Amino acid sequence: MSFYDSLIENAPAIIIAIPLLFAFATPLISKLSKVLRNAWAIMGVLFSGALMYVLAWEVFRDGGSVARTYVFGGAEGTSFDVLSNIRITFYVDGMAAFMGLIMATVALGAVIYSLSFVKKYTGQDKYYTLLLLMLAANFGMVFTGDIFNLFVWFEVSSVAICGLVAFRTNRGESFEGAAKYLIYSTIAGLLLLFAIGILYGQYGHLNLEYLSAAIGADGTILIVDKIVLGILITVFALKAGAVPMHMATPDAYSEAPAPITAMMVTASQAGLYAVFRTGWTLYGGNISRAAAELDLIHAVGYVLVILGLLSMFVGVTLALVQKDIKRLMAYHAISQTGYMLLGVGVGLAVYASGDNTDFSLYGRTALAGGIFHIFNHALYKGLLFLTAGAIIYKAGTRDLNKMGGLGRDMKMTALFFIIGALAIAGIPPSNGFASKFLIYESVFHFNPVIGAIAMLVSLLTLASFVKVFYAAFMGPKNSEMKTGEVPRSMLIGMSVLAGMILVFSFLPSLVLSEIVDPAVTALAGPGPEIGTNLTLFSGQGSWNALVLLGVLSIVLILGILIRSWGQKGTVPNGEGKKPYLFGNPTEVNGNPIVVPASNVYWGFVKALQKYYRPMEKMHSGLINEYVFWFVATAGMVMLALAFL
Amino acid sequence: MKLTKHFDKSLWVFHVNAASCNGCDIEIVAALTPRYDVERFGIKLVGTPRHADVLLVTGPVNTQMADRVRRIYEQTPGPKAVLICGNCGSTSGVYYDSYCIQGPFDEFIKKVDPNAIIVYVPGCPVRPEAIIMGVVEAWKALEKLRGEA
Amino acid sequence: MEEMSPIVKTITKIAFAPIFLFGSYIILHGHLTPGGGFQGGAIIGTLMALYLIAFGAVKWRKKLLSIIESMGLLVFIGTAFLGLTSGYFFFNFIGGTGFPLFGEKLQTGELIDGVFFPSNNAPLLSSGTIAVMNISVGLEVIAGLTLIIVAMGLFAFTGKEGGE
Repeated sequence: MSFYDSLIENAPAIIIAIPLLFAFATPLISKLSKVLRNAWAIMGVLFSGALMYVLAWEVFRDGGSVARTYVFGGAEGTSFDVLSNIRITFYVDGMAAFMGLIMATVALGAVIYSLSFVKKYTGQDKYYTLLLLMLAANFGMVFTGDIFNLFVWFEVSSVAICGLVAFRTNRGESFEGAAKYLIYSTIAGLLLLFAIGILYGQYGHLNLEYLSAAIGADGTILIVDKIVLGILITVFALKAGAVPMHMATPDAYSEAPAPITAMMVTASQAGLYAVFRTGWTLYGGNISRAAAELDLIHAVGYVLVILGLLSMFVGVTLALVQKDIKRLMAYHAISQTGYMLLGVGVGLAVYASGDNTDFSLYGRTALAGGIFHIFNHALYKGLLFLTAGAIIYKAGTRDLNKMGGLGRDMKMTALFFIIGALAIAGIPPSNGFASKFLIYESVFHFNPVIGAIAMLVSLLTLASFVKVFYAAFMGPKNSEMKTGEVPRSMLIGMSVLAGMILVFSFLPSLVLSEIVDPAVTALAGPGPEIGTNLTLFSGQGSWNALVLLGVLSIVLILGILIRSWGQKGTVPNGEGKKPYLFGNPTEVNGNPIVVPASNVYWGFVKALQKYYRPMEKMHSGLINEYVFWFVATAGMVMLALAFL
Repeated sequence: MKLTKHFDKSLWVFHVNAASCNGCDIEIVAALTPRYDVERFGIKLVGTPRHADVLLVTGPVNTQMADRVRRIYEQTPGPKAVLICGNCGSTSGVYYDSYCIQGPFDEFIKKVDPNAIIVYVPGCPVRPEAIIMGVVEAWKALEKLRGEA
Repeated sequence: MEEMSPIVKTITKIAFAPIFLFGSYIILHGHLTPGGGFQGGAIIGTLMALYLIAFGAVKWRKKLLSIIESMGLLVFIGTAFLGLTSGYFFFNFIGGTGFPLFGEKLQTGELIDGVFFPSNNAPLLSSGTIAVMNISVGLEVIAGLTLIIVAMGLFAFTGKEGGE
């Protein structure tokens, strides 16, 4: 075999091993010199990212119909009888390669950004080590084909993230966030271990392929299987940050350094990947499609839909009232996770209702929308967190009420923020709109009320990002803040993600047919294509981003022309340039009066006091209550699956 | 300032109460309501002087309102006109020579902007038909003023 | 905090040898008995904790321990990569092939008078890369646990980070 062939064959293991190798060597190399350590970290991310892209190209080349299995430690001709219960296999199909692409891209942007973001902190060698470990754990979670290995990488990811959340050791809140995250993840991990133990005791094998063939093999689902399914879904939804298991997420996301938060988004999406694997492959893989199994998956689909709805709504309404910029964005991450759960849950419910025409009409589109949303979410959420880091770097504070007027100097950052905010709100022609379009249309067909709630959540998302933009970039300049644009490496890191967002926005059908379709095929089997040439077709409508771009540019040119025909110089000096405040002076003791960010939506918040007061009491800050919510949800999901 | 030839089409007004007794304000509201219906000419009440063409002022200007009225006048973008409703704006009315009055409105505005275009509608309080008559007279006068400073 | 009595210090010095031997036994026999690299390393780590309690705040060679830790991990992952030369990642390319260090050949049983006597099929030195990885992980865990315990213990002794 040529070098290239053997490289591709060993790629799943090498992609995980390269960040590990580079992580283990970083403490040694950082004793030599700082520049060498930075270069070493970037090389680690670059090599594994490049290999990931090559592997993904190979996997997607034939439409994702061939999944690659790699046995750790190699052996000739492994069958399921010989020693397969102690072998660890890696299983790379379209969905896994898709997730790996996301992680490689966001990690590249984040590590370039980190070069100047953490420059002034001590302990940078530990930072880069843990970052590379986190990348290895992310890759490990999506490539593994063995459920115990999934637990191992789950734990590695928890520990690495906990260490990074506590990076700023001079603040007590960082430790609190790290402790909450660690306790939460550890309890979830132990419950996961319990579920894996049950599965092993029942079936004797830990291999995902074997288990998916063995569960429901004789047409009945045991009560043990249902219990395990309930635990698995709840634990992985906790990692993804779904409500009501979201309580440790805002603390952890807001205390971590900004590039780490961007990577934590991809780590939570590894949890989402595990949810989808459990629902589609582990429990839905039996070819005979026995009736009992279909009923179970139907129930799982509805559970995912309910979790998704709760996450969307609670996430965005709580985000509207936040004062801390990164907490606000963390709540939005929870809300967007709800979109993905909703899309895939609808797909699962329709798939399992056994109706093939319905599935190819709108179920498959919902699934494709949910999966496409994963990639888009990682890109624009990562970009938004990086811009939040840039704002905090310049403003020195995370409080929205104390910032202002940064837009005059930070024009590039403001541009990236606008791209990210338009994408997350789902405004055409951004890529967020492309994936939300698919989700809206198919979910509306499934149940109109859910589709309407999804659109309402988009509106509220836009509202809260308008508030953030106003507070951070507009308004008069605050004299305490540093001036000038952020360092160049941060801009480069942000532009990597922004460039991909733009590509995805204007060529969504290309991305859909090349990258998302193989992933959908891997989960749900082959079916009709969704995007052709340059137009996206959902079951009911079509979306072509380039047409809209053309229309927008024509409108823009018309606007510029009309403006140039107007009267020049009609803006007087003096009072005419100041804001209107009912005639009152616009400065008090030399400081300009601004509306603080918390008061921008005071009317809305005051009107919904009946909803916000109980919410405030529920998020009490005690880790005990958070664990109670998690365990209660696990119990309820188990009961629902056992009796539905 | 130059008034364009479109200035006599539907004007948007912003109402400023500079220490008035509210009598003229009630009559202004009556003018806008369906019985005397100034809105059929397209004249509409707006919430911020940034959108306004005409400032509809009532009352004399006292010390507390002086600075604010000046600021509102300056924050209204040109071309603009001022319509003074009632006797207080023209001559200080019943508040003549009071301890806190800065002067009748026209003298006050002329100090701020000597080129201000002012239309007077006398009365105490002003009848709504008088306001409409005042607007019509203003249009005739503005036809003469068009193109001139 | 007061010092420990001479009895504690002497017994700690005497106990060094048995505990270290026991930990190394667990590390080396990782492929035969329960245990392995991590568990044996943890045993020796508790030995270091014992030293910390007995002798208090003395100077520990933290830089050396950090280097040992990294070297242990690098040997581990390097051996895994070296398995690539024979085809698969993590492939056990030493075990049972006659390599001088850890690769004793496996022996089959012999047939004597019609009765099959199985041999000791997996002698201690035949595990190949498993033994290398056990030792490297053992070293790493010793160094790592010592660093953690020293960091926390010295902080408790002196109230300052880094001790002294």
